[in-house]
Amino acid sequence: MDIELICLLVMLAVFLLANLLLKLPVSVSMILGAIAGALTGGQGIPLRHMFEGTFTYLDTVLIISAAMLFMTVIQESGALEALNAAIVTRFYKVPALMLILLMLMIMFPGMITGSSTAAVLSAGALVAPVLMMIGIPKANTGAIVAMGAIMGMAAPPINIPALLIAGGVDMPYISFEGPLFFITIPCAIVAVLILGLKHCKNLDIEKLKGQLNLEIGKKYGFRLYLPILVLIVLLVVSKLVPSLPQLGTALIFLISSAVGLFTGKRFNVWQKALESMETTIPVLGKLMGVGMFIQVLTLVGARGWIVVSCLSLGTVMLYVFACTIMPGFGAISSYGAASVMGVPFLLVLLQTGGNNDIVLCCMLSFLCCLGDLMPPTALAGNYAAQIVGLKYSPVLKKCVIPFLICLIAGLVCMIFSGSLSFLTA
Amino acid sequence: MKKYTYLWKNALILALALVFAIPASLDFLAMQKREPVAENGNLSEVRMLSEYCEGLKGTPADTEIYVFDSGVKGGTFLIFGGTHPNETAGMLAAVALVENMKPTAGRFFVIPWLNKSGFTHTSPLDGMQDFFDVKLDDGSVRTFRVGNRLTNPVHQWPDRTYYEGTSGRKLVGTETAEIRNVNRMYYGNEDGVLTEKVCWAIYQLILKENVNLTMDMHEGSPEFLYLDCVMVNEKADNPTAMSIAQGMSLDMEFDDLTMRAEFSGMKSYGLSHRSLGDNTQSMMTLMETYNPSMGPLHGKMTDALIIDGKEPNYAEAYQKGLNYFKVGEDGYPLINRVARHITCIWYLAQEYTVKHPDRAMAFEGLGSYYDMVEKGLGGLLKPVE
Repeated sequence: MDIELICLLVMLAVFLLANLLLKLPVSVSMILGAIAGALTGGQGIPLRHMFEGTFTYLDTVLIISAAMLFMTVIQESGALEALNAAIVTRFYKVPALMLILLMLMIMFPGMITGSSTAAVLSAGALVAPVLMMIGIPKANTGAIVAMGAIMGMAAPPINIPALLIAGGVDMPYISFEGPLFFITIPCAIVAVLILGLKHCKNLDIEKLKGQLNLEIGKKYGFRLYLPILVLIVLLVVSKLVPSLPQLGTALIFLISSAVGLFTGKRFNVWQKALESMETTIPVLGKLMGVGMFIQVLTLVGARGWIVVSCLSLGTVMLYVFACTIMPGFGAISSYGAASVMGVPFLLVLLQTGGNNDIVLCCMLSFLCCLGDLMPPTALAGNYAAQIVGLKYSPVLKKCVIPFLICLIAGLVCMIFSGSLSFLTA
Repeated sequence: MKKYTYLWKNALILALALVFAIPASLDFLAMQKREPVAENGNLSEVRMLSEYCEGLKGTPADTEIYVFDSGVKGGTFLIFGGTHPNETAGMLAAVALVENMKPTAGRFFVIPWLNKSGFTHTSPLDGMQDFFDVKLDDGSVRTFRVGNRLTNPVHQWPDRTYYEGTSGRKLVGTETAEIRNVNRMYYGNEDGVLTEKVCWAIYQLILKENVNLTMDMHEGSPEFLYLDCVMVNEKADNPTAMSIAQGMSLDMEFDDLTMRAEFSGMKSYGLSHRSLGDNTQSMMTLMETYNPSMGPLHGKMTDALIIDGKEPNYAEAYQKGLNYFKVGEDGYPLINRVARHITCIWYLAQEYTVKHPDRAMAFEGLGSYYDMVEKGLGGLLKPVE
């Protein structure tokens, strides 16, 4: 047996043992897995690599922290309650349309930031209470938020796995919008209708009004929504007019949060900020653990071994592996799946002939994004579950059918990428 | 009581973190120190890059320029390695030139560590070596750094979400990190970010010193299309630039060495061969060799991978038709890549002199490609104090 394979198995075994048997947090389990892998690979305890790996996602960590502060402000100021009331009272007559609009709302921050976590934490947390209020069970609500966040992450203009794969083969990130919209929008619509429509066909608005806080909107008026408006304007302007001075996503969240301190109910900012950071730290830890895990995986040669082994497969098996390993790698990191597996998969699939490189790259990135539903990390599912107040396993169970539909859709588009070339025109 | 328990618990976690963080920090700090260079009696002077851009003075990006003046009137050749510090052969070829070169016509400016800040860190997730050792013939050992292709974020951060350099290259999406890539920011900006100042200094050096020929030394992974290849800007020195490069290709072919000459991409905005060639009088060239420690397929990171250049994963991938570049079981040792860079430079100087006898440039002291390979790195590099 190759030493690289042994290292990989040891890393996975220690990680799973620590997480499932010893009930240690995912982040700590990943650290233990990384140390075990490094020792097996003859690298000792490589402190430099371990620290370097943890800093990989520093920017993402900053964005998530700032987004969580924003969400706390929105909740505590009363904007969330007011928004829920406004959406339900206006769209309750056409539930399918209401669900699709809510799904697009969940997707939006993911499209702008390229992060499913940001989508769950911002729009997801806004929409989830509305979904539960109109009668969708908690688990289904969590699944809708998770699927929406992932579709947002995969949708243009910013799809980070696609950027990573394209960058790896020197392909400019141009003309990706068509194929990415083609796969994400239909999948998002199908997912939200499957998960939510049967639960909200006959809505009793009078009963719902009893559960809604209609007063807070009247008391503070439009200014209650100012932080959300500021957030949307700054995010959109920074993308549409990139030549303007750039604030960065984290700062935009902080500015919007600061605005929210003066637009609604007053609350203890320090206390609430501490509480929000306490709930965020486990996810930040996961990101840092993922970085360390992949760094050691590369250091001991296991990354190269995985890639070469996968590339030695025949065409059919290559497609099968793309559909299983790419999202499966998301259990560690969807970005990692793109950078480790995406580039070589794209190069090999291109050699099978008749394929369109941009469509293939988009579909591979789509499969990577689905990895954010893979336990035990399951970033999107994990946070969506927290928002609806459940553990993530019931939420993930509800995601299975839409997940499989997305997987099949992605596979079909990959196989017929040549026929979808018109999308890149 | 509960409050004190909470404080003690946190203090303990912090102390534990420091126990691990301090030795790791020392590892990173060790990369801040530049490698020594052996003395060469033919060296005329050492300048700093900040002489060409005041804003670089006192920054971690200021770097040494080794000037060799033959005393014989002729042309000026600027040679730099370390644009991308992880592309080891370019840096080492420049060091070998500095330690062995004896100019016989014209002037030579040699910069081994162009992105000096990039040599002070490595790339997250890539599990890179930070140092590698070369054993010399006298038994001593010299240690060299392997850095990152980008400027250290400790020296230039954060990366802006949008940036347009002087070349017109628009950095968006994941390309935003390229604002720390010297070979994307030419011809630089005197008042720009640190990386742009390095580019600006090179631009000014070429203009002020009336540089006639420039070589930017690089390496790439086997997935890359342009390996064992020299990119040539078609504008400066038109129409002779390509014929000079093709002359070099032919010379190397006679030595049984492949070195293609290709026109530089018209849209390679911000790259040295495009932007400097378009905006200066110098004939701009950029050379690439294959580096087995780069790319997603590489195996365990060791000194041997860097020095011996054997990467079975890439050899297997080539056999299955997955690489553009031919990779054999024997690998591509660092000495062969260093020798190839130096040989290419030697032939370029020779061909340039043929076309422009009034701007002659020539040097000796390193021997032929095969001499250098026979000597090995241990013989090519000199002992240092």
